Amino acid sequence: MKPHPQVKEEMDRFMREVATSFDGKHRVRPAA
Amino acid sequence: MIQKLWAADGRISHHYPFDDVRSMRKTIQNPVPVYIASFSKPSLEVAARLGCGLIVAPLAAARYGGLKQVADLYDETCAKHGRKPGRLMCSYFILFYDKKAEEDAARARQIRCYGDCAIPALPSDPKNAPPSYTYFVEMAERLQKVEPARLSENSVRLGGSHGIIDTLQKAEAAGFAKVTHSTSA
Repeated sequence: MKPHPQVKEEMDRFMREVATSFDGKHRVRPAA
Repeated sequence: MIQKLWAADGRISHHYPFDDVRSMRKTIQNPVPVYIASFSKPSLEVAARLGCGLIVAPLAAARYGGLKQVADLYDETCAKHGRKPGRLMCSYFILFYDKKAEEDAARARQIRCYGDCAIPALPSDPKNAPPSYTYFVEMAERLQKVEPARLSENSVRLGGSHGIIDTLQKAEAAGFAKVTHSTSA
């Protein structure tokens, strides 16, 4: 299994670098 | 029947062989969006017949040529049943990498994940699987044979952010409203 810190970093990277290219609720509900 | 219970104000009993059946908690959403997870044509057919949305495994969609082909088949099947197509969703593993060493590690981890988690959960013995589960047996066989270098966007999102955005845009163009991801493998 992937180390947990790497999972957290990749989730964060996804929101910063990928999710911003798409519409969705994340645009009006930013992560806490 | 569950959909009718959610939608009804009171009890329903005259259409079904049950007495005095009612949903004790009313849903806030009405109608409640219902999705059917689909690995095969029969489950896609059920979703279209009942007017449900569809959640597709891209690995299974590859049997039909890809997500676009599944979306077209779902739309055609909904039309055949006089139903408006619901939303389409799919899910992927995401493998971020920027360097060759990271890519190799990510691909190897994904193969291990198939071996440790996915394959044992699938009906993979043709002697014990019913005929309607033949596609599961085929899927387990494919997963057992897949090599790290042959992992493709049919099952995982690979690469840096731009590559992942490109493949997500293909899903969007195919008509998929939502894609869920796992970064944990």
